[in-house]
Amino acid sequence: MENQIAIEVKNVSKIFPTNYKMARLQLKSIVYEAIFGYKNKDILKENQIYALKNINFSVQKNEKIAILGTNGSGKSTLLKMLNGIYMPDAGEININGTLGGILELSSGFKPELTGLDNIYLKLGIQGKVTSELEQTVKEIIEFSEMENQINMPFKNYSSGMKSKLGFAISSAMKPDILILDEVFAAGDKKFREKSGKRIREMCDNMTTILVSHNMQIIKNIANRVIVLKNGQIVFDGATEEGITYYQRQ
Amino acid sequence: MIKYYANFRQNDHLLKVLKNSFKQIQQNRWLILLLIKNQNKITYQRDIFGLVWLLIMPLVPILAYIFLASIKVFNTVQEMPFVFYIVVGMFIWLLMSSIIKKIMLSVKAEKNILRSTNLSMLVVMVSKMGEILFDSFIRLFAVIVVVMWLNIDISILSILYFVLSLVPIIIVSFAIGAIVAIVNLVSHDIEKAVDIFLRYGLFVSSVIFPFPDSGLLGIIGDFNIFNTYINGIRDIVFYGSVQNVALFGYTVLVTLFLFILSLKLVYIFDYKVREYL
Repeated sequence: MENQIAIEVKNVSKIFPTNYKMARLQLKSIVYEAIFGYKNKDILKENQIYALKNINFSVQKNEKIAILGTNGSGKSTLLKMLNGIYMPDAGEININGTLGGILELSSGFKPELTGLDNIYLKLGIQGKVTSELEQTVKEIIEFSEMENQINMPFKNYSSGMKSKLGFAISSAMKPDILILDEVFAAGDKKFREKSGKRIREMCDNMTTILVSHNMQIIKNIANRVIVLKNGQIVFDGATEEGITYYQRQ
Repeated sequence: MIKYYANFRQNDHLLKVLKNSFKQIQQNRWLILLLIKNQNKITYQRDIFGLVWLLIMPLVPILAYIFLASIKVFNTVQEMPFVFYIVVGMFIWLLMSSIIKKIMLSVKAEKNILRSTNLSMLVVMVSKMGEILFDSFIRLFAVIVVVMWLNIDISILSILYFVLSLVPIIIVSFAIGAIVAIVNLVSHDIEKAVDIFLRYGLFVSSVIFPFPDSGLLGIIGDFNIFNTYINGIRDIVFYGSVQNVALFGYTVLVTLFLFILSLKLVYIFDYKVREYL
């Protein structure tokens, strides 16, 4: 892989079961393979669908890519695969650099713990245990504007507060590659402006892959668009053309 | 550079699996301690007596069995004070069964975080085991108090042997818990079967009365690693050495095998099962 390439996705497919019975069969085969060896699974069986099929693209360093597609087109699955949460069933993904995602803002929290405990927990999961930890925590609380509620149990937060805290934590990272999944609607109008500014600042210095249904944001940030339909790439090109293609669907 | 592919980690050799597993624990030690602290906070934040319950909970069954033994409900060992027999047996049984149960349910308990982040499954399991070890440390204190209160002649060296001999117990319980946690994702029947064994297995594991060591039951007892460990550790503390060295050695080998198998399964599954949680 050339050094200028940040992400390379080669012939990637992902298969999902359509019912519990098939999910159990798939899991059984993983247990079997763990003990007796891997078998190629890129053949669709009954009660399975392709969440992604034969995906190929690469992202240059500092490039900003938007992924568009209707619900269920495979955008979130692709982002989770780039993040290493899901593994491909076929093909390979190469990541050149540290990767940080702002995905599902209010998920991954422990509701019984306070906001402050959750900040430490999330930073710990992201491996951010540095000498500047206390400073980072202070910045997160300040950015989320939750100085007075930070010791409240997380389960008592409103959905807006949860998103604000989630955004503040996720955006405190400084990765080489930034992944953004529908994170532009966190909090009230004032917070949205503030978070939008932070995202733009982050995107300026990082390779970025974003998913949004807000075309204005895509125009402002992205210099390339990939359109997904039924798990396949149907367009890969310039931003304006990509948006037009997507809106025509 | 990170590379993800269909058979990711599938063909990695054993040395790499072990190296990666220990590296992961070492790198995430701060997070493991944080997870233990958080869980203790969640468990006890609504209790008025907090950690006092940790002492009371194991003491109640221990005292109940001591009472039953004193009225000759169970056969006891002639040479060993029955209180010592039950206290040590119950302590080891509680340690093993709680580690297995906690780790078995760990993946399901943390599925929300595992599904949306790349938090390692091994880190989750080790933190769950840490919670139990914290609880057990307090229970051990209760056991020592009971032993001293009853004037049982146990040397400091025996207590040290006892603590050291808990290491294989902890390892085998972790291994069984981790293997069951993974198999449990395929079929929840496993969880229910293990739960039944953990509830009633103490009656076939020499916890509160000796399990027969001859005939068909003796053969079954030899295959029950819980039985072997509980008897072996009692021997170490009371007599200073294991009576059946060959059986104890074989059980340690089985423990090592299970431990390596569990690490390998967790290593592979960490990146394969999140979409099924």
